[in-house]
Amino acid sequence: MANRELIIEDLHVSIDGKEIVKGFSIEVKAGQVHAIMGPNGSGKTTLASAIMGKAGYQITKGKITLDGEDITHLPTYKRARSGIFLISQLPSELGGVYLDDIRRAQPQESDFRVERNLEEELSSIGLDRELADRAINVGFSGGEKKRFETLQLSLLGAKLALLDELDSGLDIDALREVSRRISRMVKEEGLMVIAITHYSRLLKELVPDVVHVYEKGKITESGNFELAFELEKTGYQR
Amino acid sequence: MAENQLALRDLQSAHMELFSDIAEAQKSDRRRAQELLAQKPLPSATEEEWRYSRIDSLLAEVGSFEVSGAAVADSSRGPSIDGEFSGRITLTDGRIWFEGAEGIRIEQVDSSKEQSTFSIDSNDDYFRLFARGYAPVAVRVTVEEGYQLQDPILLEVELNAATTLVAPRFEFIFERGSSASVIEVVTGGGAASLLTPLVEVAVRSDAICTYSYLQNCDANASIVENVVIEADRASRVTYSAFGFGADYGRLRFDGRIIGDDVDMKVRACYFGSDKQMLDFRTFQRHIAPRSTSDLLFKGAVGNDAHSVYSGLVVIEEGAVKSDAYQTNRNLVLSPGARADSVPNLDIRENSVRCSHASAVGPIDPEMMFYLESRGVDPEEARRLIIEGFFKEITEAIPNLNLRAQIGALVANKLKGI
Repeated sequence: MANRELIIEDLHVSIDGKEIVKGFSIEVKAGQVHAIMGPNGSGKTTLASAIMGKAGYQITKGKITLDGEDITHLPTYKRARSGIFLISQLPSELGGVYLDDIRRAQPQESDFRVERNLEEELSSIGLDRELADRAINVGFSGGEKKRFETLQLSLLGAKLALLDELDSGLDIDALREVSRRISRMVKEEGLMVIAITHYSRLLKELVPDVVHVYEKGKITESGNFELAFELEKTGYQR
Repeated sequence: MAENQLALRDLQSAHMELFSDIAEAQKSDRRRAQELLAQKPLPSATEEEWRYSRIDSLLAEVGSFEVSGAAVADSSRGPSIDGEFSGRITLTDGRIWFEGAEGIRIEQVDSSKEQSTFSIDSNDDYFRLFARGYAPVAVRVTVEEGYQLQDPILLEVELNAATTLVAPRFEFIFERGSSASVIEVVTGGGAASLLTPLVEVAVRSDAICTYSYLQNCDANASIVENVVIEADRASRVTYSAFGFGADYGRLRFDGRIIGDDVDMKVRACYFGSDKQMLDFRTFQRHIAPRSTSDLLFKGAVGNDAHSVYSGLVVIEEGAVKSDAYQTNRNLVLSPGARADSVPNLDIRENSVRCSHASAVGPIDPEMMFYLESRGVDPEEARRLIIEGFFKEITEAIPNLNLRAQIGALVANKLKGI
C-alpha cells in the first residue's frame, strides 16, 4: 500500500481527431481523495473514460503509471485487473448478466472478494440481497445502481476509484452510505479516489485531500477542501 | 415457375403412391386441402408472407428430392431430451411410433371418418395445406379433460435419409381444464432434405398448454414448419421456439384467440451462423375480446447468416379490450450477417392496447465497456452479453433438461462466430 500511486503526466486525449484533454497531470498517493470540479463540457467524463481505456478515446500524448507500471496503452480489461475501477454517471444495464458472471470471469477467483464478505458488503451499503442476485442494473433505481457499483468496487478490491458524478441519482441517505463505504476503503485499504463532481455535497461526505479545477481539458487551479465551497459560491468564472 | 410447380406436383403424386393406403383412408379430409392447394399458386418471394425468404431457390431444388420410405422408427432409442415423459411420439423419415401414459390418447388420424377440428381456407399457408392434403402420417394427441400432466410429452421428428421430403401432421387437443407441456424436437436432415411439418393445437377452455419447439436440423436441411394454435376461453398458452439448425429454417406461427380471457405468450430465440437463413413469420389474431397475447422474439446472426422476423397482430372487430404486444430484437454479430425485422399491426376495434417494437444492431459497446472495466476480457464479455440477451427467454423454459440443451447450443454457436 505504501508504494501505491497513480501518476498521470501531460495526458492528451482525442475523440475522432478532436482533442478534448489537453495536458492533464495529477499525482495521487495511497489513501488520497482528489476531487475534480469543472464546468459542463470541460471534458471531465472524457478524462475518466480515457483513464479507463475506453475504445475511441485516443491517448495521443502523455503517460499513465499505476504503482510504477505504465498502463497508458493497456486494454480496458487489463487496466481493470491492475486495479482501476470506474463508476460511470449512468451505469449500463446488462440483461441476463449477473454479478456472479463478473466474479467467475476474474483471472483468479480469489481476486474477487465476493465469497468472503458479500453479506457484510451488502449491509454496509444498504443494498438488498435480492438486488445482488438480479441481472446487473436491470430495473434498478438510480440510487440502487450507484450502490451496486460501489459493491463491485469493494468486491474487486480496486486500487483506484474513478467516480464520475457519483452523487447524481443519489438521495441524501444513499449518498452518505455510499460515501462512507468508499471513505472506509480509502482509510483501511489505501484506496485512491478521483471524484468528478459538480457539487460540494459529495465532498462533505467524501472529504478530498486536493480539489482541482478542470477547464478546457486541463487543470487550471488546485487547492484544499475549501476550494470546493469557494467555487460553489463564486462559480468557475471568478 | 412452371417447372417448379410441375416438380412439386410430381412429388405430391409420389407421396400419394408411396402412402396410398393412408391416402385412400383419409381422402375426404384431405380432398378439401388438395382442392384448395390446387387453386393456390406456389409460394414466391414476391408475396409479402414470403418476402426475404429462400422460397424461390428452395422450390427450384424440390424437383431433385425423392420421397423416402426409409427406416422404421426405433422405439428402443433414447429420447433426444433427458427426463421422464408422459407421452412420446417419434417420427423418423415418415414412420411413426408412439406411446402415452394415462390421461393422454395418441392415435393416427383417420380423416375418412371424421373432420379435422381445425378449419382451413385458401388463405392458409401453402405448406399447411400441403401437409393437410398430402401428409403421409397424421397423428392426434389428446390430453383428456381435467388431466394435469406433470411430465412433458415429447414429439421427435427426425430425418435421416438423404434427399427426402416429409410433410407430417400433428394435432394436439388440450381438453377442458387439462394442463400439459409438449417438447417438439426436430433434427436430422442428412445431405439435403425438406421437412414441412404441420402442428395444430387446440387449447380448450381453462386448459394450460406449454409448447416448446427446438429446431436443430443438420446444416444442409431445409425445414418449413407451420404451427397453428387456437386458444379458447380462459386458456393459458406459452409457445416457445428455439431455432439453431438447418440451412433454411422457417417457422410460421398462427396464434388464434377464439375465446375470452385467454393469455397467450409467444417466445423465440434463434441463432444463425455460416450461411444459414432463419425465417419467422407470426400472426397473433384476436377474434374474441378481453384476451392478451404477448410476443417476444430474440435473435442473433453471425458470419453470413440472415434472419427474418415478420409479424402481424390482428385485432378483429368485436375483440374489445384486447392487449397485444409484439417485440423483436436482433443482434448482428458480423459484418456479413443480416437481420430483417418487420412488425405490423392491423387493428379493427377500438378500446384495445397494442404495441410493437423491433431492434436490429450490434452488441452495445457500452455493455462491452462495462464488463471490460470489471476485468472481463473482451471475448468473455461478448459471450456473456449474447448469452444474457437470450436468457430473458431461456431462463423461463420450465424443463431444465431442455434449458440446458439450448444453453449448450447457444454456447456452441458462439464458438464459431
